[in-house]
Amino acid sequence: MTDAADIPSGASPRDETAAPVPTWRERWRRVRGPAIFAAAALLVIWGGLPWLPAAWGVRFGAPYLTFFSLAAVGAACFFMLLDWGPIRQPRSALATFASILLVYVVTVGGMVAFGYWYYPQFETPVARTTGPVAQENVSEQRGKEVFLTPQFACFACHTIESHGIRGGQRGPDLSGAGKAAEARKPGVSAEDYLRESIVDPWACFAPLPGSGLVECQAAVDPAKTYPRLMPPGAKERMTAQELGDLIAFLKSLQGADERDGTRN
Amino acid sequence: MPLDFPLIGARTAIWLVAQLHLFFAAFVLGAPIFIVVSEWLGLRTGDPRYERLAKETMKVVAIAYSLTAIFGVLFAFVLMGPYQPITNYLFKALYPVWVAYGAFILLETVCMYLYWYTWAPLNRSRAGKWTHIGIGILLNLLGTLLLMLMNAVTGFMNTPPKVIESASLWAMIDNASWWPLNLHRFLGNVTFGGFVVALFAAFMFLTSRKDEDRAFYDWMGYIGNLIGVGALITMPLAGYILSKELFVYDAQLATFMMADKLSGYFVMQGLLVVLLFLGANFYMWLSMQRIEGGARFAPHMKAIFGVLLAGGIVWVVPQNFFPDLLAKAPAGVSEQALILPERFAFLGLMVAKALAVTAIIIMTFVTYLLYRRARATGAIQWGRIDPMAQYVLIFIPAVAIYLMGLMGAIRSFTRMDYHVYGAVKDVTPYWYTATLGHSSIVVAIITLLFFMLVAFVFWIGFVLGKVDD
Repeated sequence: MTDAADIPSGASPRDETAAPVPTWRERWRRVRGPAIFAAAALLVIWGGLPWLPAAWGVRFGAPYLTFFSLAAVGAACFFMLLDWGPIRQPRSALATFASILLVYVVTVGGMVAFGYWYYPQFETPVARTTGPVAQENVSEQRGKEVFLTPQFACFACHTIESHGIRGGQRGPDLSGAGKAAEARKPGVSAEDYLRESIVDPWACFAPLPGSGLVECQAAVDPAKTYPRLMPPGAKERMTAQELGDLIAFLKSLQGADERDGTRN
Repeated sequence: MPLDFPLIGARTAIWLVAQLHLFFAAFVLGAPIFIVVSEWLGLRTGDPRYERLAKETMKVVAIAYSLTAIFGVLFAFVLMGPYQPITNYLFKALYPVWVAYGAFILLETVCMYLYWYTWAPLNRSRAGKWTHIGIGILLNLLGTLLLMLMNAVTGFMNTPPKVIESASLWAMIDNASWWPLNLHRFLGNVTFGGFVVALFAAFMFLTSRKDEDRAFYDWMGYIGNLIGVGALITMPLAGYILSKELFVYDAQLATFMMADKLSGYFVMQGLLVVLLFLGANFYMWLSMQRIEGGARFAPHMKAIFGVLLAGGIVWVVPQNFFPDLLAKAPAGVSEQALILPERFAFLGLMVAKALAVTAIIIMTFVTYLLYRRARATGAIQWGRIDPMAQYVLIFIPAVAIYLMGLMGAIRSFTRMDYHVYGAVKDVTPYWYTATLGHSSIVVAIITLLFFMLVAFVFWIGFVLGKVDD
């Protein structure tokens, strides 16, 4: 980490910590390139991009345009700093401490500006104590593990909001899957319906929440049912035990507020 | 819930004291690693600057040790109040770990004071010096064991054994995230220690009145930053390992972290890491200018900065502006405006992000290679650096401390509404995941408090003493 050529500058006078401090005119000459770049970039971002034809696929929303603007201005400022030239060292202890604090506060303040003002926030639930947790039996617990196993990846498409399982949004939220299964096929038990919907998912299609339908539909109606997304062949990949446990778990899902009623 | 905390609430209270405790703990565990290495280098090379670096840093550690203990006690107080049920649970489940933790704290404290107070007496002979280095190595071993013990508890809370009722003590200690946490926190502590040393050196440089002191603190800042950056470039990999273990443990964590409520946190993490790398490279740019003939590398370095900025933009650009999976677009805003256009959707994928990180790491490495090349042909004039470099050395720790605080929050929030994931529910009023806005303010307050305390340590340990001298 050291070098034979290292020179401790013990003899240098105090003001010679670096090259001479440039004048403001000299500074402007050094930094005008990045400043012009930033102005041009902002012009392109706000004056050009929004007017390009939509078919070109380069229409960005306002949050992205703001992001690119911040990035362009930030990059220009960074390049300005590179060529800014030496600054003076504070002469008093108070000025030194104040300058250090300023750098610190501005840095941390920038982070707050990003996290608090710029980035969108999700809803915060009303703070209150949660109620007792519904107990799962052993089979249901095993079924939950099956649901969360990457090999089967049920969660990749399904959320179970009532259990705090934040999976994908392609399939329906299964918070009330057990309750809904009782009415999906007249004359068929919830357990049998759930089994069929897993091992032979395209036999009967679950209705979309806003369709007004309760029963599953044998014929595919894209406007009223979920599309053909459920992967077939689960019975080949799951053991009978795993399938049974998964059905037990799904059957136990009785509604959105079943767990603690406070989910947002 | 047994108790709440007035005004700020129990969660913010425990957040403040736990994070401040962890900051000081990270420093007092991380810094001695290179203090001992520096002492050894001083002995081996005969360069007195290594000895001075080691001794001055150790003085900071010795003062910071008391603050670590104070915040540890405050942490325990808050745990015993509002968080009594989970504290009882953890003590029961991992009782031998707590006993060992207490014993190792005692041993480490003895070893730390022995190391600090025997510095001068053991400096009189070569055998004595080796004995002193041996004590330093023991101090680090004990510190690392302490770290691992607490990581066992933290890891247990995040990734307990799946069948917790019948799990053995070892299964609870050696949980899925224990080793990844050990690796991540060990490297994180070295990074943190290096940056705090650089902060100290900058503070001392700017308050120094003698040129030889400024030359020394310029060198010390360079070394501190070098250690910090050296460990920092390994951190993304350590982070991937930890994340991978979390994903394998429970795949819904992947969704929660990367696509749901914590996704915004990771955008901010990307921004902070990019700023760290930009700061570190900017410091090298300024360092290059105190090397005779170093200016000839400026065009190469500007090209590197261009790649760094481009990589940074790719890393930070969000795939969408939805704060969680269930969020809807605000009234009057189309969903399309909040999502990357399809043509650019690849920028939101992990592949693009990982490539950007790799480019940033490689470019940082190239910067150091250029510095080495410049140093081989020109003399370094220590102390004759642009004072702006010292402010960069203040900026970097500010970002690093903020990042560490934010990552601590992320790790804690991955438990969702559990104290012990999947086993012990959080039934306090603060069971929910805090918004990024709230977290960014709490972490900012913690970061500023830590800075004030560290400045106090520097002032009481060095500036006040200098006046007396």
